[in-house]
Formats: sequence, C-alpha cells, structure tokens
Amino acid sequence: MALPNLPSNACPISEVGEVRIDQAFLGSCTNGCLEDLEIGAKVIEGKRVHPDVRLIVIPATPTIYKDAMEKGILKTFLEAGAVVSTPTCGPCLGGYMGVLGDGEKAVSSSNRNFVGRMGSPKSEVYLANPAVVAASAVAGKIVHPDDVQ
Amino acid sequence: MTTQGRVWVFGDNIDTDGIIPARYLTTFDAEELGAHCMEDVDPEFPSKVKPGDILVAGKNFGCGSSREHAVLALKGAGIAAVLAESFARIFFRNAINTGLLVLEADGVRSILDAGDTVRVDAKSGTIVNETRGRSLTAKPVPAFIQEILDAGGLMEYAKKKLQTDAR
Repeated sequence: MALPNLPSNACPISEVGEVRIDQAFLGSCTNGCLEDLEIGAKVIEGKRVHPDVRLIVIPATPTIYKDAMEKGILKTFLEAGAVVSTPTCGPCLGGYMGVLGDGEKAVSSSNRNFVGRMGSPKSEVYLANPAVVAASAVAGKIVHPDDVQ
Repeated sequence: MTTQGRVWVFGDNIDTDGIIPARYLTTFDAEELGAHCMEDVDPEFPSKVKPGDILVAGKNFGCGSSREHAVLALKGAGIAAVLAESFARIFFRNAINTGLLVLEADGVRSILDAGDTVRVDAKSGTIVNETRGRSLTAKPVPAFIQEILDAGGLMEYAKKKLQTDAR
C-alpha cells in the first residue's frame, strides 16, 4: 500500500488500520493490464460491491478491453455492481468519472496519490494492487483479499 | 543568462498536481494556468507572485505526471527560474524544452529564505543571496542547454537552427 499523499509513503496493509472508502478504482494505463483485471475479477467473483462504494474499472487499452470482455472478466465486474469505462485518462487524475469530493477516500490501482490527485485537495488516495482494490470495494474499507474470502 | 528576483521557498516532493491541479488542464494558456499555479500548496501564491520571482524548493521538484502545463503555469505566474535540490527528470526536461531556467543546487534552501533577493548566473551556476550575502555554486547549465533556454525552448531553438542550417 501507499498512504496519502506520496507514492513512496509505503507500508504493509496490516498497518493501514480502519479506512472506510467511497471509491475503488481498478485500472489506469499503469495497472489496467489483462492480468490486473483477472486478479481483481477473481477476488470479486460472486460478491457484491459495498453499497457505499463506487467501483470503477478501466482497462488500459481497447485490446485489453476486448480481451477482458471475451474472457468474461467485464461481466464478472458488472454483475458485482462495478462500472466499466472506456480506456482513456480519467479518475487517476481527477479528469472525469469518480472525481473525488471533499473528505472522500479512494483506494486505487493507479500509481499517484498526491494532494488533490483524484479531485478535491481534501480527498485522500490510497494506492494498492488490484486484489486489494477489489477486496476493499466489497468490504467498503481497505482490507486484505483474504478478509473477503 | 543572469536573472535576479524575489525568493519563494517550498519543501520536498512538490508534485505536478501541486504546481497545477488537473482540474485546470483544459487550457494551454500560460497566463490562465498561472492564475492557479501552486494554489493547492499555497492558496496565496497566485495572487502574490510577481513577474521575475524565483522559486526555491527541496528534493524531487516536479514529480508526478509529465504534464507540460506544470512548466507553463510557472511561466504564466511569472516565475523566472526554479532552483531545487533535485528535480524529477520529466519536469526537468519539460522545463528546458519550454524555456524555463532550472538549476539543481544542493543546499540551496540553506542560503535562501522566502522574500530574499537572489541573483542567478546560469552559465557559472552561481547563486548569490543579495539580501544576506550568502552564495553557493549549483550545477552549471551546459552550453547546448543554455542555447535552448536562450532561444526560449526547444521548438524555438529547432526553428532557429533549421533557419541557420538552410542558409
């Protein structure tokens, strides 16, 4: 994990403590590969996104989008209550979709979490791998994937 | 290139979202970007910064995204040079390519305080605190980089060079 507000502010998930989240973002150019999506889908399969959380999934490229569709990965996410969007810049830099408001917290598989990176300067971004992002989306708070199995 | 100006001091890891937040990336207009430069780091900066001011920072200045807007915003705000203990590499090249003087100056924060007047000589790397009489030597700017800066950035430099070569 990387805690707000620096990617190098890293710590094991066991030290994060109780962090309730408003948004989980699985994707970006950096960590939206087919493998990332597969890992997230495996964690979330048969489960539901927590009612207080927006789970946004964005494959890194149109090719990955198509491959994920053919493999049924996108269906798994949609059935869990996630939204899947077009490969392009978006939530990672507070561009569009899921722009964080004041006081909101997000867990994200992207790679930057500076002040205001995903929206309001009063929001916070925790960086994590796709498995943790998917698990946290289900739990409504940052958790290890083992905690939702 | 020699420049003299009033000093602003910032800390380590000033990122490009801090220099110009993503919500303003809808324009390439330097002046418009400058009006919001550093506002999430210091809300008073855009209204108090004056043309010719010099920004001093710690380690890893300009980390984060590759946005050229970060340099444009600083230029639009009137910043004449950035002196930092170290720079993130993409910002560093963006700055040179866009014609903003950047000098890597180890220990620069130990000789300069906010509001001081500093004189910077890019060629020799000399940084002099005119207010307190302290100085240090930064990494000088190599001659070919100096040429790019003098031209006002890489595009202008290339245009000039093509014109000269065509003669």
